Amino acid sequence: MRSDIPFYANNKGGGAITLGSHPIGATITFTQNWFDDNANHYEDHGYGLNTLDWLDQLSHEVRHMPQIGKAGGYLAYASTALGQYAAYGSHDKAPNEIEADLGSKIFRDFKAFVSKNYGGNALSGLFEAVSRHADIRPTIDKWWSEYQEDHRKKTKNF
Amino acid sequence: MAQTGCSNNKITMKKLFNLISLAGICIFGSSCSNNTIYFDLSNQTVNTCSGRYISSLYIEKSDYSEYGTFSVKDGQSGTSSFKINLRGGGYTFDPGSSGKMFVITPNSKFIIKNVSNGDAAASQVVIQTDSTGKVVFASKIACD
Repeated sequence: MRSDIPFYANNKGGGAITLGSHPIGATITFTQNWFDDNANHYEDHGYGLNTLDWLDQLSHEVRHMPQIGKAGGYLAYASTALGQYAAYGSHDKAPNEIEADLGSKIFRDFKAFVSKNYGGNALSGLFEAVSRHADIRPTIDKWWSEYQEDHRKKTKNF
Repeated sequence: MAQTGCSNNKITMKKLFNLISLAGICIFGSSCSNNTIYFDLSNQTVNTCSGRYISSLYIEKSDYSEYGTFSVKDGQSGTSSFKINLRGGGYTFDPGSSGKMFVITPNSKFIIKNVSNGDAAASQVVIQTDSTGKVVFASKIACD
């Protein structure tokens, strides 16, 4: 979804916000520049065709959705967020934000793993080739299993 | 009628509180920050354009042999001018599945992303090192 909220400057890259009263049906709202297919617009911040940047941002936002359920609804979620921003002195140090950051951290790690093993454009190529749409899910499932196995071997606690 | 009036007032107050909360989130969470960065070639540092400290910085070598995330340590304030060839300094490094500690290598290309504010789009700069490991090219060397 797109709207004038959030208020991140489109020309600085924009951003997104997750709001809702229940994890199911919560809304992730992106700034306008994410929907512009011309990368040169918004001072080179048009993202429409950059699937990986979309997924990177989404991987953070989706981790806010269970936080809505955990908080117990819209009001509790909003007041928890505000309370955390105030208590920790910034948006970036708020526990809910750090928890959501894990989503994008895992996505970047997965992307790097796929790029290292299947080539730098493997992940973006999979999403962008129209003829391969049927391949997306099984291929992601395969790569994700390999990634988990690799990570399990290295950390033994994944 | 009195009950109905009271109920309507409650709904109005709830709506008002929702609006205030939403405005608060937007103000505290969105409007104050972005992740925009540039690379200072003379000081060999990644700098934020807003002057805000860097809490999380992702770095990736072009051949994916090294990648991971620098994160500010708990209780540390972080810096808005991050020296990439120095370890420590209030930051930890998570190598993820690469399993390697990050080192700036000669004749290499790296992508650096400031991901401090996860709700704002990441800002990235591409850098290139020379034969001594010094960064000699950066895709962005100043703020707009």
